[in-house]
Amino acid sequence: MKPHWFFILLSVSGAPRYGTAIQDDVRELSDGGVRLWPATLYGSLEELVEQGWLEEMADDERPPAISGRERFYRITRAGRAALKGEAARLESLARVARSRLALGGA
Amino acid sequence: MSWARVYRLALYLLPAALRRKHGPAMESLFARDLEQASARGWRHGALTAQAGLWDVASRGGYERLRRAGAALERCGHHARRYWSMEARAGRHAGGPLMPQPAVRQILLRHGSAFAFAFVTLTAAFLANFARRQIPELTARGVPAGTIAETLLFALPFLAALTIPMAVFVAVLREFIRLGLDGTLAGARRQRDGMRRLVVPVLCAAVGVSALAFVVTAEIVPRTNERLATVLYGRSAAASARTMTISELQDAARTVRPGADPVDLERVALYEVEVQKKFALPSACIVMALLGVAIALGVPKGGTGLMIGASLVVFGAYYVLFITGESLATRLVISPLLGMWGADALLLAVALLAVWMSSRASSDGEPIIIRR
Repeated sequence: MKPHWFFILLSVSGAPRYGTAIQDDVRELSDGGVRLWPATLYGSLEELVEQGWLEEMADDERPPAISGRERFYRITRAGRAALKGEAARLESLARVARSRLALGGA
Repeated sequence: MSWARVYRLALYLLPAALRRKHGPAMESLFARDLEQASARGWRHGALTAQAGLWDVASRGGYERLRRAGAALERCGHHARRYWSMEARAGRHAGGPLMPQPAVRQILLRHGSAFAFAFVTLTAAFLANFARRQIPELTARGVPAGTIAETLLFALPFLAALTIPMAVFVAVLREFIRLGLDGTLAGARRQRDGMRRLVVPVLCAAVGVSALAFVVTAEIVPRTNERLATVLYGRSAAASARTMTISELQDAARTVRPGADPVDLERVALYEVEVQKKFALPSACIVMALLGVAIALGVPKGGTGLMIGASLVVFGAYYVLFITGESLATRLVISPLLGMWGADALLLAVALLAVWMSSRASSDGEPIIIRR
């Protein structure tokens, strides 16, 4: 899974978000390491919708007190499964890396 | 022209559907990022602006490649169905005529090829620039951040050179492909067939030329100014290459009539730079026509033709261009002739080649017989 897809799904998994909020949340999640520029962000959102991992919320489902122009996205069941799978893969990779480093340092 | 306006123009690099749906949101986000970065200084602002524009350009190329891949896959699926139907009906003697591609498909394919060629050529030129500049900058103790800034500021003037090249490579490649799969032969036998293939491509080349003009006229002078400051350490006392068109024209007007040869050469330099900002983007249209002409002249050409023709055409164009610039700044020829001579010559060659190939095609092409 592409790294920025992972971060977008992670951001949206907590609560439905719109573009700018996703960008801010991803920057916070990655401690400033991952920056989603506008074209990459919105292009990726469209790709994830095509993939079936995200869906756009209808107008009447949008959270209240927002101007109404933003498009909100929420994660789908398939997206959540993909995110879980990727998290498990990264966790396994981190475990292997830690054990190899421990071996190398011993 | 503000960064916001340039960004809005750059959004046309994205597929129309994506631009229409998310364009305002992207502009708004870009404006916010730019405002936050500019609060930290003009350099941060300029870097952010360039990164945002690069993001649009690279995403545009990626989106078009992705969609072209999906479209080709659908095409391949339809072609496989068509072939199997034709084979079952026994109508495959001599091969079926390839259906004429729709305008959208033609532009999509050329767009993807252009994006790929542009990114590849610009990356190659940037790598060459980095290879020449980084050792010297490092030896001078220039910080890594400033070196990265230098490479970013070099992108616009490199892009001004590679945009016409990418147009040529894209058009030549796609028309060679159309020649190899029989589409060109089919188009020649149809009324208005060739016009329906060529006109959309030339119109797209006009659009690319307009974009190249924005880059050359507005972006390059500003980034050249920053580049000169970093490379040569001077707080840019404006040189001709750091001036916009209006600044060049104003500077030329300050030289009074009957001035000495040094001043006249300075005026010629300003005029050369003004003409360059029009002539270089216009080369996109000439390159598109030349690509069509070469592919028509050698319909069975392949990768070898593409590489060979590219080397010859680029080499010839830039030798003519640089020679014209040198002669014009030394008052041997007029700036108009110096800067437009290369375009005019290659345009004449292209028109002649198209005319010759259209005459050759009317002298008895083999007709594919469908049983």
